[in-house]
Amino acid sequence: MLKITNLHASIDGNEILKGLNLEVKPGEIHAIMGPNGAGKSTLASVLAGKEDYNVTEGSVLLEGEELLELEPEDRARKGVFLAFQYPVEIPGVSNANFMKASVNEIRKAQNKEPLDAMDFLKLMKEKASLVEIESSFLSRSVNEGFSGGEKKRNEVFQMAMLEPKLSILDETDSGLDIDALKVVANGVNKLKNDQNAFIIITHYQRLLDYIIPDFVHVLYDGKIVKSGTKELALELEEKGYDWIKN
Amino acid sequence: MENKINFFSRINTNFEVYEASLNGQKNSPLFAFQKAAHEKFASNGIPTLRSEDWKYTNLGFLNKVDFKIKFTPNPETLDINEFKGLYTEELANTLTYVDGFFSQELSIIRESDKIKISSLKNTIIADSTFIAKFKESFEMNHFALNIVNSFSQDSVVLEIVKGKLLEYPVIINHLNTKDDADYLVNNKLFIFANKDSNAKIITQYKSVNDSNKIQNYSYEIYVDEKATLSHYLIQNDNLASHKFSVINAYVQTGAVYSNYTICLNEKFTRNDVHISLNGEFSHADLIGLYIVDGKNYIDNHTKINHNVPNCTSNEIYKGVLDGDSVSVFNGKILVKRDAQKTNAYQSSKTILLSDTAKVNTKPELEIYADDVKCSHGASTGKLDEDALFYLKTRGISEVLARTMLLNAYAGDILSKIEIPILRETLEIQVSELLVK
Repeated sequence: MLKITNLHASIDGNEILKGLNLEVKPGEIHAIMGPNGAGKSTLASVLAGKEDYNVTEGSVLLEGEELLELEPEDRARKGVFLAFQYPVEIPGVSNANFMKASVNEIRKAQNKEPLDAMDFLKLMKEKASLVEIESSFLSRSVNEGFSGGEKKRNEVFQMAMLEPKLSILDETDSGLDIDALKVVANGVNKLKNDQNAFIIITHYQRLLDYIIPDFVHVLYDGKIVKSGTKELALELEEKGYDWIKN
Repeated sequence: MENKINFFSRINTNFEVYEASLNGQKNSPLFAFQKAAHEKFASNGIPTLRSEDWKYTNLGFLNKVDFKIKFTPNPETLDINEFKGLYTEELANTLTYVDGFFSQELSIIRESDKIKISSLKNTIIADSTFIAKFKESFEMNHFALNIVNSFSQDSVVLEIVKGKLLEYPVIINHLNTKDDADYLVNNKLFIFANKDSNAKIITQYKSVNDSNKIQNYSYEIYVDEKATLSHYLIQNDNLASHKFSVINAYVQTGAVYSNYTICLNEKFTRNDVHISLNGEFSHADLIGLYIVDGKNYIDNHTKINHNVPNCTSNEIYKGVLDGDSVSVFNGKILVKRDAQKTNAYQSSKTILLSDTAKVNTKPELEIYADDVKCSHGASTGKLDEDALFYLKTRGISEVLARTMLLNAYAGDILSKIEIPILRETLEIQVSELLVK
């Protein structure tokens, strides 16, 4: 589904990704781990289409189509979803209105009819229960006054609403206590199926106890230097990132 | 003295003509008042760009209009349906002005046990202390106010009866008709909220299509002890209108005056709102929203005087500018030496949607008391890029994302409007204005 070839990306003149390669097939969960500064968030941002980053070389094919030429909204319409590490607060825009606009814009791009108010409300309630969110949340402004855990649950809620093909979770576990972590992991596990795929970017192994990856990759100095199965994550936890450097 | 014909000379000539037309009335108290006001105008003139309160305001357009001043209303009956977009409520109390003259036939007071309408002349006869309550207004030197005071005929006094809570708002319509000439229109209105009363007042302004008038508005407002008065100014007359509005509000012990100034893309508007908190434990709100485009100009000058202890004020102004528009915000707060335990908050924000729009923002805090809490903040910028990106990553187009954020920004102010139908009406108008 996703094929990243020799991806080079820089910001403010500094090269962060130095030839990253990755292939993700439908139904797979890939974890990407690495020390700070390795390029984990850069990878997430480049895939989502953040303008600050300059792609200097390489290609990213989503189902055979070059993703890097597309605007962020078009990538979302093709089925890419980024769960942010630090979701932004948007006072004055309710979660409900946000999701309604989002769902219908994506449906429009896929030549589907927009959902009417009733159907949409039904959909929202259904998905909210997936991440244990009460309906009062829907009328609140996006992420405004949310705790870290609530913000991350909102990301997974949106994922549930939009049913993306490829979900990238950017350090979703950062700042979460174990209970919040379990709710998030639970949500992701309910959403995964044979047709979609997940890239879980994480610094710590802990999340991977709950979302079992098919593959684990180590990102170091802008490249994937080692790949393995879930055992690799445990090995990293034990030996630390210095082990990789040697 | 130059013999140039300009705005200043035209005003003087008009006053001379007016004075000459009066026969027996030169001895009336009203004329004495008008003459004093005119003398103030004649000696102070029109402010220049060197005057601190007018340094961003280009008043050159005043010289280009060969205007007349009306001393009597048009005799023809007006068809109010000619004025598109007037906010109405079925059960509201309505006062209508046409070209600066109060129109009895287009007005209706439904809650007549709670509202009294009289003239300034009669009010002064009944209560000789009335005019002294507005002493500070007469000490002001503001050229447009001086003009209103020079030419305004007997003003209406709108009184909210003691202890009464109005169930419906009072809607004041200022309508300007089309004429054979250009006119300078003067409106002066007194609003007196008696003790323990509670009322909401909406003032709105509509001109017929190509009506080219310079409009002057003066509101003298007194909020007596423990009364609550909310005042909504809907300035959405977006045609060739040029308006000056001066509000003086005097707030007594335990009373509340809330002013909401909503400016939706008029050609030229200069608002002066002056509030004096004269009684302890009184409160003032100044809530403003302005959205301008093209070459339009909006100027909001506010002044809050904390004259006594234990008063609070809350000021929030937000603006959205596009095109080559210009906005001015000057928020003065004066806390007198004895006004301890003052709590004053001021925030001024603007979003610029174009590189050629210009914002001039100046908070001015003058604090002489030492046990006070005063905070102010001013910020100008573009739409939040991170928020825009977030919306786009959820498939929302750039255009829709910008619109959503702008509506949220403006909606923050509109959400404070306590009349639901008015709020919804304005949300729709603002939403349409923001789709660009």
